[in-house]
Amino acid sequence: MKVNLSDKILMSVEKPARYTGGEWNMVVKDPGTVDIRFAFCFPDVYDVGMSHLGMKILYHVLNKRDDTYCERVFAPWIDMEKVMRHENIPLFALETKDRIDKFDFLGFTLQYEMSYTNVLNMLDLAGLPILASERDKTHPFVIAGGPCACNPEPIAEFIDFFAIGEGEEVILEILDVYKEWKSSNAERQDFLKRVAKIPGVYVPSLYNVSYKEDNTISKIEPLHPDVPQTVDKRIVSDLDEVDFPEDIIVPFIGTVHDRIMLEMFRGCIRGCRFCQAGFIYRPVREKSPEVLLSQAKGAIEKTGYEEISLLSLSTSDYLCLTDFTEQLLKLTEERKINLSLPSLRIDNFSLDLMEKAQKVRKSGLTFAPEAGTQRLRDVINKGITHEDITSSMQLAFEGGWNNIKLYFMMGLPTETTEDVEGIANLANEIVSIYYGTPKEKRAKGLKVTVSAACFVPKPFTPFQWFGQDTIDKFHDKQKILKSKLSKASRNITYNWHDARVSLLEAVFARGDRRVGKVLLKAWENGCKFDGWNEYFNYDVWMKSFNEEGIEPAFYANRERNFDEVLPWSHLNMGVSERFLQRERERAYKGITTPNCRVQCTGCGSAVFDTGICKDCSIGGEKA
Amino acid sequence: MNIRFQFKRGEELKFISHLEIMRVFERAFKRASIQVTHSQGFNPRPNIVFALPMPVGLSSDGEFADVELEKTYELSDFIEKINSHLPEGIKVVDAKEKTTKTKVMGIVNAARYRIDFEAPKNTEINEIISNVLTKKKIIVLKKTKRGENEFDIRPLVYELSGDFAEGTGFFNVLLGAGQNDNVRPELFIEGVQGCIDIPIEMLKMHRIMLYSSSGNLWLPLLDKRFL
Ligand code: SF4
Repeated sequence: MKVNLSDKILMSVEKPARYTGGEWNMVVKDPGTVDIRFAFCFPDVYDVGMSHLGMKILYHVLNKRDDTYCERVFAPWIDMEKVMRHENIPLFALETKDRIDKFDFLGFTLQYEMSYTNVLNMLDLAGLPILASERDKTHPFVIAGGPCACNPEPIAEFIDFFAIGEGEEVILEILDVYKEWKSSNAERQDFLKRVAKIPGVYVPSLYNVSYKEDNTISKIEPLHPDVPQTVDKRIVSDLDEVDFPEDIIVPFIGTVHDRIMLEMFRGCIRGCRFCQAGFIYRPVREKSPEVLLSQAKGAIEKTGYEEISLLSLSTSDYLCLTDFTEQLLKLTEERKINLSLPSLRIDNFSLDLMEKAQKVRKSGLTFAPEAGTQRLRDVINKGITHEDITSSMQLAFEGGWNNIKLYFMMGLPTETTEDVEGIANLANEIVSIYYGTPKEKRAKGLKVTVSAACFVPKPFTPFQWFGQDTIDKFHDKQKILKSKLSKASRNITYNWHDARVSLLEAVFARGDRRVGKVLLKAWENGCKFDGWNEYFNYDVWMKSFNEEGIEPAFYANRERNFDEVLPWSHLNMGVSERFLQRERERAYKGITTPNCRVQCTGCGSAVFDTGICKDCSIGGEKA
Repeated sequence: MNIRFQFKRGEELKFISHLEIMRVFERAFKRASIQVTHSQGFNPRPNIVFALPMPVGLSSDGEFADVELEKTYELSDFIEKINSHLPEGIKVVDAKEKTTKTKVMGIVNAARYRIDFEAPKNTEINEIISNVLTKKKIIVLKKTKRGENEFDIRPLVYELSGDFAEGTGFFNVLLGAGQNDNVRPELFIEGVQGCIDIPIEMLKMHRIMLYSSSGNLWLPLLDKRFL
């Protein structure tokens, strides 16, 4: 059933095109001819959600099936939600404007913890019971995936089941089982039991979690014998074979990443110890240059976009980068298309490449030393030396770049005052490198931006046991850095993060099922769009923790030991616990670990028998 | 080759801004592999210019744009090609070759609108119309870069007719348009409201056609006199 969006409603809200659909390449199907209606839900506003590549991939994969119609749903912005609630307009899908409460599936993608309240809010706007346990046969199945699903426990009460790992294959298997189940006319519970057998599917209601007196977990066990003890993540083994969308939707209104995103590879060889993506997407699997070029060409032709961007965790590590970018540049120049090159290491080659790609103006150069001293960079296994930093800055200034953005983290394990001050020292040193560069070479007007995020320890990293700094500690460190920087050059600007947001991220990144209650309470108390500064309300969050009798520090700031049962211990993302422990020990001793290409260190991902693990000499130690 | 084309935008696409419409065309030309020439300089822009911005919420049958192409096309080919790469709701309906240097935005000076509105059931449309037309001055507040200015729209209301029944009606109005004296539909309604006591509320706005004057005639912008 279509919702009625009158002109009056649409004219009363900001950016009405967020709600009207009809973009180029939008998939149009007759809903009457399909068996499965799937609402792909992104728990943020259209402009953010439409920038997300994962959604584009799944939209494409699902709509390739004749029996399925996948439509998009975004969180209505505050103004629109107000009108919708006032006029009793339920949440609807952009393609058909049909309300989604009678669809077969609602699939949420979980990209960041601070979108969880939006998930709840969207369920409510759709008219569904928020709690999975309260849904019956008349309701869609609510499923979720994405990076945050690697610890799904905080939202386990609201989601019927999760897809762990990469979704494009497992989702098709889920739909096949669904069709079977639907025609068998069996109970809702029966479907959950059936999907639980698909590798990569986690049905939280089929597991029981028990706790010890000290509030840590004593056991997580399946409730039925045929439900797996641990759920292994799914990955796509050959990225050249997976169907990548070229005919992506071209939004009318500007979005955060309004361009073609060409995914070069998944995973990362580096193993920076703070970086969750670097562990959960292992092993590295590259696409071949031929496939990439043909996909680039296809996407350019089918979208008309004026810009294409390379996407990966570390572009510089792509094996055939030189050849590939040469050919890609040819293509983009010929067609007057901009090429943007994020996550490049700064060296002669990349600076030259950026210069070629961006004929226009030299835009800012971003660089992430992550920590202020070499000692701490070794702790986190960043894999760059002080010399690397100074020489790349020298190169950049000589090449005419004068706008440098530096990214750091505060509150990393073992951090001391010296490390915090090291951030300022490094920024200062960079300023003096600029002034040491001959005037005729450097561009006028230096701008150095120092951004320091508050470190949030994440599951499936060597720092998953680490107790996050308290808000007070973060504030102290921010003060130290601020005062140190204020005495420094006026070319430096300092951006800091709201430590209170980072605290919540830490709670929900490593929380167990009990923090779900706080989430529900916070939503009931009005929290939503927590990722947006202007809507984040710390006091309401703290009040909600209080009301549920839950201590955020237990989840955020408490140091765990190795024998604690972690809330995500029944999920297997490939990297073994043993490896993570080893990495953590090395971290605290300041010993670095070589990247996968230099030497395999047996992280456990070799069980997938693909990508870099296949090429490496010793092979991975089986987890 | 220089082409001036007429296009329309339907209900489906009326909620996107003028800037976004420009981008829709730029991307459609790219998809259709119709090569548009680009401006010189640091930030080369495709040479497409539009007659008059389209406010959010406006549908239209009579929009125009000039485009400069790298190659020569049969006009019917051009129309077919671009239309097969434009999203639903926007369509090129006519195109002519342009040989003069004049740009389309420089020649617009009037626009005909159909403006639908809501008003009390006993409203007399003819009374409103004569009320408006007999006024010597109709002062409205126009927002400018420097704040709000008083603006007399009466000399820019060239023609006005309409109909009304059962609480809803419409105006068919020819208003001054273009770079200098542009009267947007909202502004016109504000002006009408100032002339009468009953409350009226705009429901829809639709541009019927953009014109340029030649002698004492209002002519569509594709008229050969302007090409
Ligand atoms: S098994 Fe070895 S090569 Fe494979 S991802 Fe782990 S460390 Fe890298």
